[in-house]
Amino acid sequence: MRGKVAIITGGTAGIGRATAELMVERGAKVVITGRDMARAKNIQPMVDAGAAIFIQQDTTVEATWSTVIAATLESFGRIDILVNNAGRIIVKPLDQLSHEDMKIMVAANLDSTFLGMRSVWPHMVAQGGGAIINVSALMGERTVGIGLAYSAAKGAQQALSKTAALEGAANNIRVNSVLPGLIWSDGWQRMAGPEPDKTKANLGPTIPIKRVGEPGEIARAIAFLASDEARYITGIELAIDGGKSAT
Amino acid sequence: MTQRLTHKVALVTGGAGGLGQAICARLAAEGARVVVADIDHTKAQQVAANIGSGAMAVALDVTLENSWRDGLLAVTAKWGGLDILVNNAGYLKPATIEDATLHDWQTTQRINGDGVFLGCKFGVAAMKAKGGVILNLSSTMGLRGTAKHPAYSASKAAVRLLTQSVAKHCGEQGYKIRVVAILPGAVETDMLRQNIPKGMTEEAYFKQVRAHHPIGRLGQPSDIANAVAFLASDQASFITGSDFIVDGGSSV
Repeated sequence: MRGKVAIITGGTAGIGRATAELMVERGAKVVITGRDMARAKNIQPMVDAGAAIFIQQDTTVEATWSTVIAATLESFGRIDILVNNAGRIIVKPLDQLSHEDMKIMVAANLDSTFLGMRSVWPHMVAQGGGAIINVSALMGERTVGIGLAYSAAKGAQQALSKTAALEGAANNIRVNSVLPGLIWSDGWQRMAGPEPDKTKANLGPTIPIKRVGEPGEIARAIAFLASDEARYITGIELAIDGGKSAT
Repeated sequence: MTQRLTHKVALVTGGAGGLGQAICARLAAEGARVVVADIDHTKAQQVAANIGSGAMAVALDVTLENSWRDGLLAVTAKWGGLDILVNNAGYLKPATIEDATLHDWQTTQRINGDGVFLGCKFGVAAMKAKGGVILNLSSTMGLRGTAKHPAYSASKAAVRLLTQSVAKHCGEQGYKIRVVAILPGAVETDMLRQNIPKGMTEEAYFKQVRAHHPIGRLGQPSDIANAVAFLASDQASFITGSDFIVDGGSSV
């Protein structure tokens, strides 16, 4: 990925951070954005090595995107890859879900993806192409009886991705979604209770492959889809879930 | 790029065909020892010879149990086992429901259905002790039926669900075998050329097919081989039971 420049939202932890580290390892320059300034220390080694910059960003706010684009072009001169990874999840039953909750889910999972794609689009068109990977979720395709606002927003995000794939094809912009199953990300670890290792072990048997996934396993698929090896792949929804979607 | 499949033994059915050759060459380039398995043994030997000492040819009729047994025995004798199986052999004869004979249907199901069934059966047996990867070539025609290919569409849909079943079974049994379906769109191979309607030039036909591919070109064997190399490697360690579409956006 030498010579490639990637923007990765939500890149200070979990899947986003693993993706950034992998792309840097393969020679790319990355722009990592995140809401929480304190978490930027997680990626400091990449910044110190000159392979990454960090920009504080709330991806749901349109104005932040022009800052991200300007900083990317100033630091690295081009934009080849966008990974819309930032997202949020709220799980509440319908009768406890406020309209505000619904708006947060749509903003964090759908608006942010829309804004990201629209912001990089003219630059990718001018450059002759690019690759966009939107991190969705299995729950966007398979409803599981909980988290309806999240499922709905992720489902809409997938429809957005596929339509953008069709629009982008003529300009050599590929747009794909990855659908992680149960990945042992920072988010899950925070929700895992007092004995996270036990929770992790208990979750394993619910997945056909008999273990939960690691952020790096999603990162490797994202990196493949972002690479020229995947130049004929666009508009797909790739389940990376240890077989869960087959159940 | 660093080689991702060093020390692995990979068998590719239909290995002497257009797509099969590209897959074999790519797996070899990734460091794997490659078994070119084809019903046309002479052609398989040529393909293996072109790759070099890291390849061998076996005669394999994917529809026959004995042929699988003999083929795998030859592989085990030479290289001690199997790590990667690519069920790539396939059959396509365009014929609508009105034109297709029962024989057309049965031939299609036998090669595309029975062939992959037997591949999975023998592949699981060969790999269950130490793990491996099975990649089944389905098709985007296995997602949506086409008017001209009822037998092929049905057979390729069967491959997708067979893939899921085998993936789940391997999980339940604790076998470290991943099973993934690859769904190409139209790939520029001899199989696609056989699909050219009577009275139509190749150029006109390819132009028509290209129009269904948003990316503006037909797939090349290397596009599919790239996906095979990725999925066969540890890079895809959490991907099993999935459909992996490589179609230039044609199924969106």
